[in-house]
Amino acid sequence: MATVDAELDLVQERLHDNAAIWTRAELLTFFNDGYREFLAKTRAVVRIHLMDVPPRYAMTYCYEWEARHTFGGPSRMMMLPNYDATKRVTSLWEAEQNEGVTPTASYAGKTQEWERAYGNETDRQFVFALPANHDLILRVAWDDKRLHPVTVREYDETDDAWFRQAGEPWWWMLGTNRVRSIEIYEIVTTYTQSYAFLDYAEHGFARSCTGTRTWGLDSEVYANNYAYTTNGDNQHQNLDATPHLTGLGWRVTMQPNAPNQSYCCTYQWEVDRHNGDTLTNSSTAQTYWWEELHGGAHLEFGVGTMRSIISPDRQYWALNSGAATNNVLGGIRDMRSSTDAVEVTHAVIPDRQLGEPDAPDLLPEQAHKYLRYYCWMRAFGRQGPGQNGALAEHYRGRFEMGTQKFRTLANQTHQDVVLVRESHDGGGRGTPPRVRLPSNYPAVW
Amino acid sequence: MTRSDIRTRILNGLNESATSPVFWSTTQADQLIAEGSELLAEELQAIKRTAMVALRPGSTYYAVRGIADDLMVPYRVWSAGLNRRLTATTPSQLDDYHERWQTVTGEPEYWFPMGWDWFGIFPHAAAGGGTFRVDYLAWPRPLLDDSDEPEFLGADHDTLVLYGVYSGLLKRWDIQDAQYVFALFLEKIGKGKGRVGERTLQARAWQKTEGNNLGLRSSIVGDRFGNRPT
Repeated sequence: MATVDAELDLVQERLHDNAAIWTRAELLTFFNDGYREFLAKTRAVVRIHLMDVPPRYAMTYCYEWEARHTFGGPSRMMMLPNYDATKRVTSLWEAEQNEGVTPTASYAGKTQEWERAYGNETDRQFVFALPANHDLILRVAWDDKRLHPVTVREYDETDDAWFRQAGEPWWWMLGTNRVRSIEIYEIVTTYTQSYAFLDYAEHGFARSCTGTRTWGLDSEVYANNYAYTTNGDNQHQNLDATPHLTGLGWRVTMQPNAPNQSYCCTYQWEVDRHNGDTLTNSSTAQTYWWEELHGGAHLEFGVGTMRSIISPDRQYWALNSGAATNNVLGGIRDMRSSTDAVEVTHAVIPDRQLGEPDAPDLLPEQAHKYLRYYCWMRAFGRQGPGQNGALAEHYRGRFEMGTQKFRTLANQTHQDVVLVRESHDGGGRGTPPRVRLPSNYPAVW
Repeated sequence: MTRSDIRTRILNGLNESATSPVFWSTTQADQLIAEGSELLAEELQAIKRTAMVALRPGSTYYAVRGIADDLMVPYRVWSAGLNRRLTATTPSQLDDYHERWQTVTGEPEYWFPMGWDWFGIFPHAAAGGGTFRVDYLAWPRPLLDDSDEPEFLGADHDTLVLYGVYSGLLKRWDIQDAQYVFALFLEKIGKGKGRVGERTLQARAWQKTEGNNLGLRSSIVGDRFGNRPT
């Protein structure tokens, strides 16, 4: 897939400008804007986002200025302004206290939604924060069951304390919170975490997983291509312009910790001896992974990762994060389940600015030409040297043609839908018109 | 027309030497042909391909990038197990049909879109095995050399020439002439769509209307009771 710098080269070529009028940074900004605009207009890229229940946030905060440091991640303002916004409260009694009113008993305050699983009843909304790439919700489900969209007003007219009602989720709403968040009702307070990463900080992304379902892993844990014994071998490989050996190397010797020891040992007891420690039993010495068959240890190297998981129970669907060349080759950074969890199907936009080595790989390469049109539209439309309104307008039209085309392509079944005419009797035409009474109809008060 | 023929016509149209152009390299001209071919494929929807996909255990969703790298949009999904075309539907219709449709297993009978780069099937296979066939509209393959020809009908090759000339004029910032050529390009696309459409129409069964006197001139109608002339 073509990277951004290759696309910008093409853009510059038609502008006949080597960054004298339109700088490279400016063109990169145009490209990023076009990428976001294209995805927002076409809604062509749809992703599923799963959230554990009760929801967790990357960050919660208490003051508005702290929002600056959330970087668009799933976050929530947990404290509410009070006393002319000079103070922040979590419980209603605090507001009374601040304003000199005798405090009354109130529901518990929370700073994280997961606290619902451990604490008393609260009167805070049940809010799920969406990621930075969120643009438009297409479907919300809980435990694989679709939730129905409602409004706050509808709920207000139905129930008096609906936001405290515990039970099974049936409804979702945009609610009273900030952008990129939704609320789910009825609320669930039992804590359910689908998957937990173990030793993430120490061992990086997942190389294996365990659980109650039946599954099979497709994982490429690489074997060593060659073995070496000393630092000298290593330095020779690194310094030589054309290394003698390629692939994954494994140093089969160990070095004692004691000072001034330059020995390379093949057995643990040798290390112990040089360190002056008690000698311990040692495993069979080996140089290659396959020597496990002959009594050697099982070797696992810190490279390679899971490439797919197959299960008859359900699908394990890999979602790429976008904004990097070949990012589908990366490792698993997060793993979630739709069971007992909230599932949001939404149209997405890029969640970060592309750099020149990146690739706009949420789109097929054939769509990149429309991003170039956008760059030319912006470049020719900019006031100053090189401005050309007619060219800018023309490229705007070309960009719009592309968005219309991809909006159609995103609805893949548009080619395969069989349309039928409406019935003659007008059935199924929606709600019948309301009864209209004459203006002189007597009013009853 | 070969790529070389198309390139020569483009360069001639831009008043450039076909053998040693000054303001264009051969590579740049070939890029224009490739871009024009992409655009033509998107508009005409004339390039069709078929891929076979294995049913994976537990899998509802399939990524189009994993089926074929030239896949633009599927237009038919056919189950090899059922020997039947899957019915196109939407997640919303499936929600109306079954509360937890994602958990239902069986031989796939429906398919539904999930953006441009993946789609789902319903029900999904539990055990895996078997295949489904995806017929799709495709983007054109790259032309390999100067003797290679685009897959479009011969009459559409001129459209690629027009696109190349149009892009060349845009490179000169000659918007007036470019818009004129672009209008010709769009006109050619319209005719190209007609040609592709005719191929579709030919496959349909047609018959005359049975309505009384409908669509016939009065002079050839038998009588006022609708009896046809013998």
